[in-house]
Amino acid sequence: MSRGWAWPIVAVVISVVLIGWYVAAGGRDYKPSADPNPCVPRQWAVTHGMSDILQQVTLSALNGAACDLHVNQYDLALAFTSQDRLSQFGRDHHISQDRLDSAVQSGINTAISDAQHSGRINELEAFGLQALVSALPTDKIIGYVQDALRNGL
Amino acid sequence: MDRRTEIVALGLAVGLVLADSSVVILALPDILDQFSVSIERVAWVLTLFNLVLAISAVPAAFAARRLGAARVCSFGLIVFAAASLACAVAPHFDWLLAGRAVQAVGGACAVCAALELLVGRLGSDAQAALVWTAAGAIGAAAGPAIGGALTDLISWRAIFAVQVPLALFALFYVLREKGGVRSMVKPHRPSIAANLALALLSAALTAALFLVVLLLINGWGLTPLGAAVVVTAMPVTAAITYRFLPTPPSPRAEAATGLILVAGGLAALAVLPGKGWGWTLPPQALIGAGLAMALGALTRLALMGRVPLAVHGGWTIAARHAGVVVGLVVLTPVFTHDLLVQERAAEHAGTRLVLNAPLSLSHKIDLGSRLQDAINSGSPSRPPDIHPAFAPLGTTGAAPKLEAAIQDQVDRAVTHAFSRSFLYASLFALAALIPLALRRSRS
Repeated sequence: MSRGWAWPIVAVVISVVLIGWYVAAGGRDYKPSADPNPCVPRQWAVTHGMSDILQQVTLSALNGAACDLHVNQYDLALAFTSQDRLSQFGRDHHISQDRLDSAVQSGINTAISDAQHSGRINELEAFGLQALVSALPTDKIIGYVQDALRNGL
Repeated sequence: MDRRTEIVALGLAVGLVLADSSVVILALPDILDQFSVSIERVAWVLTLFNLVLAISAVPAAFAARRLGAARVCSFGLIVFAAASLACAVAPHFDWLLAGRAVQAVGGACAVCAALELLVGRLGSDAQAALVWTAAGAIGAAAGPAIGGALTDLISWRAIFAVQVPLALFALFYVLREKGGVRSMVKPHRPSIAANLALALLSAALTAALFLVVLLLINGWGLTPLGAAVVVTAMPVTAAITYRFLPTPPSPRAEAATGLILVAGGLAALAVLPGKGWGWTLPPQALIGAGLAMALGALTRLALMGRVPLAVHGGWTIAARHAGVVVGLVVLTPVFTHDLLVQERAAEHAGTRLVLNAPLSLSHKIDLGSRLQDAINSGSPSRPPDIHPAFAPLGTTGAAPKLEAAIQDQVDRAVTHAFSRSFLYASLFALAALIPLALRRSRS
């Protein structure tokens, strides 16, 4: 091998060692953590009291609605903080009010399903709650969620 | 007159002009704030200088050959000093841009003619090319650090103000020069391979010089002075490499080694494993060493055996600064896009952390709105300060852990926003090996 090649080869070795060191130290993963898939069922955390239960319901419902709408659940959560943001969100994602209503219904059914899978309610209670939710007007549910997000519980 | 002082004065003229291609990078946020212009417009303070320098370098070199190097160099330094003064007192943004364009024309005359004058002083084309290249490389690499320090200690206007006496100092010695007119031999054709490689290397160095300081200041919140100290790693390593590293057996081997080191350093910056200026030092050291080797060797390849030297020096300046413009034009939209994507990713991550935190819903809602206020009210040129949003929650319970977790996500997003730009810059450096290899196979 000619001496001319030795220098570039040493440069390659030094570069690979440095890049390898940075990758081994976590360089490829040093980015914001990825958003979980909203269509994967949530396991409820341990709850203490009604407030915790309602938080779990809200988070599961957000996931369910986001899954139904094929949008990010955290974009949807931010959209629910005001009517203006919700309207803008609908325009940005071409989502009609009817479509949003149906997604909210779907989200609440997801919350009931998550509660059942987490062992908080039994099959019969889940069935009863789903029947009750399907009878409630969706605009009232959205109004309730927005009030809860604006004022706390 | 002391020959050594004359050479220093000519080197200073070259370093001063070529430092100007990068010296204002750390001042851009202050210029943006002062003139209330958009980020896209403020970038023209850099782009225009490099563009005009690239366009005017070769005509300036021909002028030096026809009219006399001393005369053209003096003219260039006077124009450069006057334009620097105009930039220092610029009352509005368009004035500053016009000043930068005139600075570049004067700078092109001074740099190209200085090469001819160095040949006269040193008596050797190779020696002159070495001093000329080293002065330019150190000037370009030290530019951001010097500009950052002046901006932090005095004002962005000081960057241009200090150039006036320095240019006049060089002028004092150049005015005493005689002749500089070379024989009117038929000019050789420029080396396309070496100049193309120089252009690609310069496009890569755009990221090294500009994006590193943006990451340190706008991403990680260092002061311009702090960032200036950190980025001195590059010129210091470049100077050490020039001084102490044994020369490889051929300019091609030296250029290839340098290009690989620059590419490696930039690729390492694309996979930074954490926030912290210390992580930028090893890649900067590689880039500094690579810069010293590749820039020097490629310039020698472009100049070697070609006459007139000033004209071929002009071609290298044109290639280098065209490369800087290409780097800015290609990397700016990539970086801007990635920054928006990562802002969104950080917003999602923050929302997720707040929603899943062991806090009451009312605390979560209050915290969310305070965080949004903190992000919206912060300076667009600095990372958001989220700490005040957590103050009402106290320092006990889940709040400190949540604050640290959100800050970590913001840091990750900001750092990752630079990754693709550094990677593309690394590819520019590797692409510069292609014309080098083709030249070798043809020869």
